[in-house]
Amino acid sequence: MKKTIALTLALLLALLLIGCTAKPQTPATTDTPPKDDAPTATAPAAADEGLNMDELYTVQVFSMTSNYAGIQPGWFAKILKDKFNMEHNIIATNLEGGDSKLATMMASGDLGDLVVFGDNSVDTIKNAIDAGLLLDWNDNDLLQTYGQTFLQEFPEALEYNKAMFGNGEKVYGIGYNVSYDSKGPNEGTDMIWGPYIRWDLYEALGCPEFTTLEEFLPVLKQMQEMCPTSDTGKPTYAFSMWSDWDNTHMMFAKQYGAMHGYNDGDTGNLLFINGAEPKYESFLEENGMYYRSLKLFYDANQMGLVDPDSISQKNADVTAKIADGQVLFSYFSWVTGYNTPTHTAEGKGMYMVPFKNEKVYSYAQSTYGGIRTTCIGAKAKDPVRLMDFLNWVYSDEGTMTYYNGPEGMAWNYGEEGKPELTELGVQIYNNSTTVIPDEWGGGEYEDGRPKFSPGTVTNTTVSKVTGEPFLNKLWTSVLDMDTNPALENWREHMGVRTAKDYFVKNNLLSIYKVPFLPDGARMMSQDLEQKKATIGQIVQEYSWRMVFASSEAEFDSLWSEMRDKAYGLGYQELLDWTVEGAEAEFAAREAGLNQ
Amino acid sequence: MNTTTVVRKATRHGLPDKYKLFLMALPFILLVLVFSYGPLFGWAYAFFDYRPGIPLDAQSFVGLKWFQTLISSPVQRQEVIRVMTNTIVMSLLNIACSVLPVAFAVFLSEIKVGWYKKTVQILTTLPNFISWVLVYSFAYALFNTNNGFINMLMKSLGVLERPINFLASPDHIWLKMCLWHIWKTLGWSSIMYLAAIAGIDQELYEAARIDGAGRFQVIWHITIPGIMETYFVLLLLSIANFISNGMEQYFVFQNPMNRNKIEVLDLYVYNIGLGGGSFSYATAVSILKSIVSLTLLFVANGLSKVIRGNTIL
Amino acid sequence: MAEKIKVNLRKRNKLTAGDIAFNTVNYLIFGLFTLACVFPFYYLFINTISDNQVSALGDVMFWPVGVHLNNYVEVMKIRGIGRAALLSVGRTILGTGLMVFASAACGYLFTKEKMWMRKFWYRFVVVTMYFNAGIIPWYITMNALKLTNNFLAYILPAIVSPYNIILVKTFVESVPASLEESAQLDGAGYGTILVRIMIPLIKPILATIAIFGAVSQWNAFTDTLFLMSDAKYFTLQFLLYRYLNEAASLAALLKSDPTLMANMDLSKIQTPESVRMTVSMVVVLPILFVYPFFQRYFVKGIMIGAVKG
Repeated sequence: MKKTIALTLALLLALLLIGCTAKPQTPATTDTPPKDDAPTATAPAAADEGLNMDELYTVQVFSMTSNYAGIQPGWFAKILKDKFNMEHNIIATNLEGGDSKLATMMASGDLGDLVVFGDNSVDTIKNAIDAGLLLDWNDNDLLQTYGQTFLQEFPEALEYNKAMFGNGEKVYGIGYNVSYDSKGPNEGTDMIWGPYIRWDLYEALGCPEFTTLEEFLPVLKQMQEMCPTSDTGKPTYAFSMWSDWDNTHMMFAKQYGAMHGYNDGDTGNLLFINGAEPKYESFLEENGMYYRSLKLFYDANQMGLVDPDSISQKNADVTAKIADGQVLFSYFSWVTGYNTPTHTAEGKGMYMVPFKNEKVYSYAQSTYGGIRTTCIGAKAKDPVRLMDFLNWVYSDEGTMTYYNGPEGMAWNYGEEGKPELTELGVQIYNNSTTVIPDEWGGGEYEDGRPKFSPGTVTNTTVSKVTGEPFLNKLWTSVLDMDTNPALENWREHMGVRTAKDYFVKNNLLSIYKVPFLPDGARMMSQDLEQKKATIGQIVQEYSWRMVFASSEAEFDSLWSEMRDKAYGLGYQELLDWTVEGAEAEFAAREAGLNQ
Repeated sequence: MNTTTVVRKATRHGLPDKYKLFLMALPFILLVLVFSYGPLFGWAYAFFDYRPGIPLDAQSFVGLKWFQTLISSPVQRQEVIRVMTNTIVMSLLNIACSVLPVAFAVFLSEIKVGWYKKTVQILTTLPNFISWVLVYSFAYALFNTNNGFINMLMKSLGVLERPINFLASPDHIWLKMCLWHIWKTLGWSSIMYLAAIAGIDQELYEAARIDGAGRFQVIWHITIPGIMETYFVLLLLSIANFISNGMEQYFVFQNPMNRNKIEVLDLYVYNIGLGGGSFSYATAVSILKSIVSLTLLFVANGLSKVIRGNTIL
Repeated sequence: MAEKIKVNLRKRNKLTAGDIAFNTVNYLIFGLFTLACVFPFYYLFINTISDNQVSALGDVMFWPVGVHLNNYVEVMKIRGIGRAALLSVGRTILGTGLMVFASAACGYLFTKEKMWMRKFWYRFVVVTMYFNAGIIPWYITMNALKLTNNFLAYILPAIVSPYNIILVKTFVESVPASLEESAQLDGAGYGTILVRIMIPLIKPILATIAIFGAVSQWNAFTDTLFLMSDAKYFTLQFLLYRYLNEAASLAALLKSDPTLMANMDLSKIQTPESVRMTVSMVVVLPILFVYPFFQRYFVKGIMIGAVKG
């Protein structure tokens, strides 16, 4: 008996002891910087040594935007290795635990070498700064010595970051999708919103013109009657929606606002804010846009135009339905999976059809950049090399490479220095999973794309070297090449080459520019956040019930019930807070601070 | 003779049995102390506006604010009542169904064909391994209006004219949820009762058979008493979990049409806590749940003493 | 004596009409329920080997369409999956073994009224089932114990499982006290009794908790998620979880980035559903193969008389 006790105890104690001591003995941690290194101690040492690339640098990238985790593969890995003797090991919260992962990383006191923040991360960045987890780019003249691209090309982005996060003094990072100037909309060939409808059916009906969105319904009904079944024989609907992307409201109902120049800035604060003019409107406004949007869907449902599965299906189900041709209408330009080569060759496809009262919400190119911010961790092993790398990535050459691969692989300079796709480039353009030769790093093209950041310089920015946008889709050479019978048909009827051209030409855009708020970012208190979430539940739930209401009376009673509940839960407070922010933005626009 | 040996041994070791037993259990108690009690310092976060990464003394102390949030306004209180109703109904239904695994085990052990029994036992645990997300995919495939099996079947039989979206209907949602729950857990939960049945002394069965007892008499007088203790222990534990019935199942099945009735406490906390990522709020709720669970546990234990003359804790 | 029983049993082997009716109904009900359990699994399986596009439309219901194994091939291509699988097997065996032993020991010891403050310690262990401090304090604790990037993080916290201890304790209590007493009289100490007498007697419940423990070890990925950053500690489940999220997150990314949406070709994106189903198959099939091994411990009843004999 004694032996057993002794054995048990010894075993457990030994295990505990191993557990307590194993870490320092493991040499596996060479990749990560020692945790007790003070940032102030590392930085000057590195800066004194200058740029030294002798050693392979495994950069720990902590990304809240990446949808890839692990070591960066493929052609971009080869560039990293050859040019910077670097590899990227990406930790992606999207794939690895989300907010909780972020929280534990924050609690550990080390966010790695490069940190890329995601959407709505103003609070997160502020917290990280308060917790001393981010490096000031002015430390040891890091920016001055190694970050000339930023100082020369994107000074406003740095100023913006300073004002937002650095008390006007410190620079903690650079926003994503920055531009050299802010002259036009950010989008490529298409705006985010359409509407997009089945062009072939619409054309067969003689292309009736629309003044309002509501006028689409009878035409859609005719289209449905004309084409009652899809490729695989399933019933067609004008609207097939999903609810798994909703947060504080019915996501689909909000899009009505975007077609009239309003959006809620994706904050979920239930307030439409006009992109260009100093106007706003509550989601709960009687007869407001949100109400009219729900009414539109309600009427559509009464006409049998709404897929009854809309409530219970997920986004992926709709994606499949669209490709199969079960959906005739889409608010979004990106829900056009129907436009496969097979369909377009037959002249079928979903293309943009505008209405007279339309104003499409658009995001301007921005010299400040978006809120997704790339930062350097306070405990980064070698900030100099990181800055050197970022400096290149944001340069004209780096941007071309970031979006299109290295020069010579997928593209070359043609006549007059305009970029053209190589043979391989054309293959990649048509199929992003094309395999790349080993000399360029091997693997599929798509896998080899840079994973560390969601976007550096906006891809629609015009390159200073080529005079064409960075995005290959917008190169003159590619626009000529990338066409099909259905598209040609549409182009001919509309008299423009792209949907974006149409909106620009007819001045139907409501362009939103990132405001420069001198007071820095606002944080919502936690209890207001919580109220917002509770109210959002109500609004989302009632919205769907209204769409599927059985009578107009029920529709209206649900609407007033929703308003009562929302106000009872403190909607006024949320509204006041959001309006206050909107007015600060308007004031900033007025003062011309927004470029 | 034997008694004297024991006594002699004990004195030779110099330690009374009671400490010896305790020392044997000590390593395990230490593990519990470190891994289960260690993290409890985090309960302090419930009293702050906690932001990770920043030392607690630099955070703002908010007292009981997060505990009061749940009942902060009349509408909020109504919401909590609605959610608690769902929670309690679901828990009651699930507890009522907790006899099913017992019945499952009892009747399965009546099957004498070895391969059949084994096959049934293995295959009925399958649903336990299918995640709720996939269960929903399957449910969607069965019930959707587009090409769902049920709607197609009813249409071809002429029962239905227009397809019905069963998944969006709030009718009988509690019962439906309970059925899905049974289907998913029945085979798996019966394992421990099968183990308990295997633990019954076979001599008892032999004796009963020799006495000429019928099948149901044997079940009633030997099998059932043999697994009752296990049943009561598990019942007690599930009573303590009364307000925590998990959220995954309800999360995948929820939609704007049925949320009113499907939203149980765990799901509600998830639904409204997600937006702010509020750790303090989640911690406060978790503390409240711990308190309720422990209270229920000890009340149930006390009741068990009164009713069955036997405690479990 | 055993001979005699066998003879007796053979005599009673004749089935009455009631028996036949009972058996028919019993077999039938179990058969139907088994079918209801198997069909969804079969449904998921045929969808993983069917054309993904057809599957996404929900057109695969009873038999596979356009059979291919690409989904599985893709899983096998995940970097480091072999090593991760080995690690998963390792943590499952080691973690389960220790947990079963600990549960047996605790379950046995806590039945001993003599133990110093027994009631207190038992409750001390059991109530932790209802505590949950959240992910951050847990992480801070584990980090302080140097259990980040450390294999022991998979093992140590799982050794003591209050739920399993309760199950074992209940089972031990049902074992006739006379057995243990007789051993004690022979001079055996608690440790010897535990290993020589108790453990063989409580095999059915140990097999049960071994299944529970093994399944939860095999399925665990959150510990890897939060505690491990070094790829050599990645488990199979974690890699699969990440792989699954990769497929799902592209959709999420599109949702959060309108600009990207405007410039993206959606037809290239595969649905996360087939990935999810495949991953599920990869995870469940090994469990199914190991399960029968445990099964033999509780299909057959024990003969306490034989032990006594």
